[in-house]
Amino acid sequence: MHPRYYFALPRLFARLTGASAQRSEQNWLEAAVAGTLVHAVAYIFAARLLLAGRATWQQIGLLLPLALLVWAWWSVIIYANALLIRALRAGGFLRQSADRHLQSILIGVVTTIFACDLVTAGAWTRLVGLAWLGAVALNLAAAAILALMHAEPAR
Amino acid sequence: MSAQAAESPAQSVAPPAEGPAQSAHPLLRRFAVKGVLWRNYLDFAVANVPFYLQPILIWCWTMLFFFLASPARRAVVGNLAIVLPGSSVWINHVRAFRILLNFAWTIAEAASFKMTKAEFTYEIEGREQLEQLAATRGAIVLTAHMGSYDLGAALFAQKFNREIRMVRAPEPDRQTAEHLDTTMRRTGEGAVKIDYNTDGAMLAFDLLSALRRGEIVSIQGDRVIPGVASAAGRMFGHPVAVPSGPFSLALASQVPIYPLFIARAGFRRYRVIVREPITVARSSRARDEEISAAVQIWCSVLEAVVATHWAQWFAFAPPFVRDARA
Repeated sequence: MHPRYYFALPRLFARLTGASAQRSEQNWLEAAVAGTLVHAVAYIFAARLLLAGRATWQQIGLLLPLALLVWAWWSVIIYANALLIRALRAGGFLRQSADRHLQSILIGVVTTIFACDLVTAGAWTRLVGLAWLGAVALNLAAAAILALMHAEPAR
Repeated sequence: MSAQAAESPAQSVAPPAEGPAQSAHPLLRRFAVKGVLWRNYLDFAVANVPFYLQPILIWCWTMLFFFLASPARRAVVGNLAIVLPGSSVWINHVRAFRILLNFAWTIAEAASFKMTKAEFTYEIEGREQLEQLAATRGAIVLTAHMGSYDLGAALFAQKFNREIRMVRAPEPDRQTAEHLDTTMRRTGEGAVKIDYNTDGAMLAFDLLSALRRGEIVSIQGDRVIPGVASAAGRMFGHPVAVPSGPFSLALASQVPIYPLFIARAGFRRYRVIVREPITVARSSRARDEEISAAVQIWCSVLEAVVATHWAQWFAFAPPFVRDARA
């Protein structure tokens, strides 16, 4: 059985190679790569924001508490997004999409803002920001091409 | 799914097990490891967190529960010392983390199935026996706290259009028990009915009638709870206590016992493992001897499966007699 994907870019490749471009949330590799990139961008952004200017030993000591803080922060963001989605739905908007797909868009927007900051920051963190922005740009382009090819609508 | 199944009367209300969780203040009970708060949080997370963020979040939550759920962690480390003889206690703590991580994945994936009807793939080991089970009139499915047994029951009911009665240990918290009832009703779409093994003789008669009507009854055969009859067996060279109820039922109703396990094989992927049926036939031997022989076959099957899938054996209470006494 051919693997199926969630994001537009691998779905476009799948379609070009004759495989199914149908959306799926079953691909472990996709989950691992996208999840790691999202978490890496948020974590490095938080590290730059909160640990910059501290002594190296303090920075090292705070790496784990920072991970917990980022984890808690994601919980708050996801809850805030859920309230926003509920409010939009109450107003008659976005009633066709699943909560997790709308969350995906909002999380993508937040991560892109962080990535822009990393790109302007210089040093090696620029690479992480560029990787995210490049992936978003390619994915949006792939979504547009898939839509033109009458594949499943882009999300 | 049959309309009859969907319209079946409400399942029995889950009785809470007596224990520390029941005696605690209601607010504290919500926050206890087995409290309903975490179940509700999981439902919220599954509905709201994109699938690609789940692996790291599940890892973080497992880390938290690894420290919070110390009795379960100690039980798992104790079991591992027996299942993997000669293993180091430190390495077994790492393995215990892996077991808790697998547990987190299985409950998260079962919640995904319930909340979002997420797709799952599964492979079958013992297809012939599974088809026999699906076609048989009256059978006991004997399973273990391994992989996603709730999801497995729902998938089986869906695939073969059969109703299943699941016998579970009662939850220590009433709200959690009610939540699980609702979950199973939604996951199994009415085809999975739940009974709690606290009802004593009444439940035994009820299950016997169900078996005689040709239904399938699923029972977990690797944990004895207080007040439930047990039988002695041996696993990994150690004495274990397993519930004797399934074997007595099989003897009384003359139906086969199918050992069946659902192991997680990857991301949203499961392996259904079915073994040769165990029969508890009436013979010239004494009843206890018949049951004892069947118990030992079950223990051998369970031992072989646990030896291969030890990372998915969610035995959070000590099944080995030495540990239980401790």
